[in-house]
This record gives sequence, C-alpha cells and structure tokens, in this order.
Amino acid sequence: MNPDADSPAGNQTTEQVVLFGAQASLCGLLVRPVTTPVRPPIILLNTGIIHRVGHHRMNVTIARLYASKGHPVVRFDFGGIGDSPVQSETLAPLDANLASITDVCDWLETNLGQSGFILMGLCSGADHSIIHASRDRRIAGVVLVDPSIPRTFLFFVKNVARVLSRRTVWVNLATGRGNTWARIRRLMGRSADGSGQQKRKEPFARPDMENPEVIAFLEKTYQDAVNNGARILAIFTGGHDFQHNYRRQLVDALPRVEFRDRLDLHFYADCDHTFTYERHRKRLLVELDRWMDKLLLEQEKVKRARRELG
Amino acid sequence: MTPFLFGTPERRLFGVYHPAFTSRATVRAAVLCYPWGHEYIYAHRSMVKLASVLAENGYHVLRFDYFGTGDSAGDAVEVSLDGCREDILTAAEELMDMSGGESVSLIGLRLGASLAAEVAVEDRGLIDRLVLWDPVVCGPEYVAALYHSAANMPIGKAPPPKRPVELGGGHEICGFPLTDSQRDQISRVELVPLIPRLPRRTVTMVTRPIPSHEQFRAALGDGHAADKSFISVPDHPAWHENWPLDAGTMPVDVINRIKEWMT
Repeated sequence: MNPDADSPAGNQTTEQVVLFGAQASLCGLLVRPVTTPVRPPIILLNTGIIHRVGHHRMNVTIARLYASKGHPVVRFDFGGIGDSPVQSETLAPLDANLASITDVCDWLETNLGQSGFILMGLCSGADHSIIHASRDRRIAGVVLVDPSIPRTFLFFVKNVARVLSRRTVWVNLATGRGNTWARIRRLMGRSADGSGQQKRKEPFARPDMENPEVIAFLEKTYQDAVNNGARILAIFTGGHDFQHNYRRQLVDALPRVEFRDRLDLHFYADCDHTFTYERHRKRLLVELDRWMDKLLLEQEKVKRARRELG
Repeated sequence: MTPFLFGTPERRLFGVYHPAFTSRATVRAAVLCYPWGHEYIYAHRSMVKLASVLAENGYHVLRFDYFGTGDSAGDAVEVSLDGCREDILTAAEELMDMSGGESVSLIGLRLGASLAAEVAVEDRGLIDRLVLWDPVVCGPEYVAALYHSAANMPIGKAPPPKRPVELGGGHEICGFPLTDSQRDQISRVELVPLIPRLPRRTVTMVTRPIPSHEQFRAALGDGHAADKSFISVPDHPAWHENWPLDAGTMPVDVINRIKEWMT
C-alpha cells in the first residue's frame, strides 16, 4: 500500500492522494501536470453532502481536464462528508469548512510554491467559495454555480409570468384543483387533511435570503472578494428557478456591490441544478475555458507590468 | 481510515482502508463492492458508514472504486463488467496483503452485489462470506429500471438522451453514460443460475423488493433455509434518492443487519 502513489490520469497528468489539515485527515486528490504546473491551482469544493467526485463524476472530469492544461487541481472532502472525518467538535460547520479551505491553500503554497488560487463550487460549494474569497487575498478567482442569492422584485414578476404561462394552472383553476384552491380551502377551514398546515411545495426556496441583514452580509462578502482581487464567474441554472430566474439577478439583489469588470454572469435557463446532461456539462466547460483564458491574460499583464517596473 | 491508490499503472484504483478496531485470533476482512452510476453517488455515504461499523466490530475493510468510476483512473465509458470483476479480485488481494488475512468476504450493493456473486462463484477458495444487498438478479430488469429512472428524473420526464456512436453510443442514464456495450454486458447478468455455486455463507438482504428478488428467493429452495439466507429489511434504499425529501438518509437498519450477520 502506498498512499502517495502517483496515478496516470491520461498521459499528461499524475494523481495522488493527499491528507490535508492539521490532523492530516481531510481526504483529497491532487491531480497535476507531469511537467511543472504553470497555471494557477484550482480547488473544487463539495456540493452539499455529495463527496468530492461530484454529481455525475463532474469534478473528476473537470480536475483531469484542467490538470492536462497545466493547472494543479485539488478535489477534497470537507469534514463529515465523503471520506473526511469531522474536523472540529467546537467550530460551526461553515467555519470548520472555511478553515479546511485555508488548510488546502496553505498546503498548495507550501508544497507547490504556488498561490493565486481558483475556488470552484456548485450550490453550497459556491457559497463557501465566495465567502472564503472575501477573507483570503490569495484567491485569484471564484467559479460560482448556483450560489445562494436573494430573490428580487423582477424575480417575482418573472415567476408569476412563468406560472401563468402553464396550461395546468388554468386547468386547475377551472376545475377546483391545485395549490391555489387548496390554499383557499385551508383559509376557509375546509382543508382535507384538517391540519391547517400549508405544505411547502418548494422546500428549498429561501425567503430568509431577503432579510436585510443577509443582504448586507452578502454585499460585504462579494465586495470584499472583489476588493481582494478575485475575478468572479457566476453561472445560474434554471434548475433552481424557485430562487433565481434571470441573468442579472445577482447584480439586482446586491445593488451596493461595485463589481467593476470583475464579474462574468451567465444564466442557463434550460439546465438543471447539477448539470445532469452531457451537453450542459460541455457548455459549462466551454464557458470555464473562456473565463480562465481571460483570467490568465490578466495575470500575465500584471506580471509584465511588475517586470517593467523592476 | 486510509485512502490510497493501488492496482497497476495502467489500471490505477482508488480505495479506502478501514483497519479493524480490535484484533482477533483469526483475521476477518471484507471488500465492499459499490453500485454503478448515479446509484454509486447516492450509496457512497452508506458504504462509508457500513465500513466504519464493520471495522468497529473487528473487520478489516476495503472500499474501492472500479476503474472508470469515482476517484479511480479511467473514463466512465471504459467501465466493463469483466474489468469490475478483475478490480474486485485486485482489491481482495490488496486487502489480504494489508490485513494478513487468508480470505475475504464480499459485500455488494445493487450491481456491485451481482459482480461480487460472480467473483465468488469463480474464486470460491478466496471468498469467506457473501452479502448481496438489494442485488441486481436479472440484467434486463435492471436495464429497464435504469431507463425508467432516466426518463423520470426529478428534473423532468424525458427520454434519456442518445449518445454519439463515436463515443460508444447508448444513452445518458441519470448523468452517466451507458454505452451499447455496457448495456449488453449488464443485460447478461443472471444470478439465479449461480445459486448452487454461491459460498455456503451467503445472505441476501432486500430493502426494496422487485419481481426478480422473489424468483431468486424461490430458487433458493427450502423455505426454512431461504428464510435465513434471504432477509427482507424494510428500510431506505441506500442507492436511491428521492430528492429533496430523503437526501442523505442513512439506511441504519440494513447496515445493522449486515453487521449482525457478519459478526
């Protein structure tokens, strides 16, 4: 048994198991080019409770692809997820996870001599990415897929329009079926189940996101990430249309953030939350390539300017 | 637990070794065999739990990803059932090296159970105990179920997309490719004919009965013996997620029943 054995993932890359963190127990895989890595390291984060492989093995595909292009890429599990034991009995999960990201960044800096990290995450992984970028100046870029954002006035307008465009809504209205009539019956005390409790059809819709304190927190988070120099690629999918449903919602929801030229926004209306179909994953990778090229060009300009200044 | 890479440079596999918490006079070792595709993703946390529970009860346990799945090398289209069976044997040998044991038990879930059973009948001297957890008994039935799942996902009802012939053809099944070749291989899975050659200590645990399970139970023969070797455990199916209602649910009952039977 050799925990550090290299593994060929294609001909141009090697993979190794790495145990990160103070207790050396955060389970991760580092995939990197056979030659010295020349591009910034990428760190892929868990989506919810799914282990580091990602939905549809998407994280493995991304890691191997970008390693073949010259990036060292880490996929690892937060404490309590996948193959990593809980890291702290005292820290809240969010704080423990942010500390784990710091551990991985430190390891890469120490062992590969590289900084300027790119954090990438879907859903909760996106939330962890942006919060960490707001607190760590070493983050050069974040790729956020379906991060948590507040709903806006325009969101509700579009949502009502979307609902009214459904044939079933009108059929239900005419026949006395569906949610609207159920709500009316409940209000009139004629609920069939007698509980009077309204069943939530959208268990993940998060009205708490519209709380002014939450909005202020998010505005500060995004602003700090931008001020720290991070580029943001934010991609939203139609799969979470109970929470976001148009491209510029992030900007409208957080009006006090000055994104300047640091934000690239996309909305994939026909794509589900976890990119189940291959064509959607391909589209994501094309977008990622474009954004990565832009980021690398910017980093090259900065390096050149520094050289000229001596 | 110790995550590590093993196998050959051409067929590098990822595994996690759970050493036994307590030492015994006779070394006991178990290899866990994962299900396929989206079922693997959902089942992962339950398999981690099962491995931990067995390690606490004196077993050396190895969980591993077949070539082309999880963290192992290879692409999803390169998965073959012959390859998976070869990987199970590689994992068994690796675990015997690590634990000092002379035999291993196999615990397989869904398609992993079918693969484990096929390995067990071919290498009877190597396999001590065999646990078939919600096994795929009949390949065509399983393939039909896969296509049904793919056509009725929470994201909507639509026929599974076809894949280009130059990429192996077949269809996309819940986010994973199922090439024509893979579909044909899975369609040939039949567990009933293997019953006479299964290890003496074999148990089948079923959380979600399907028609072929009843055929399998009937084929086990004598009712009394079948009662002991075919156990129905009403529980959450580890390999299935009715998102978002039961995301992350752990099938504690069946894990405990497996532990009890193994120890």
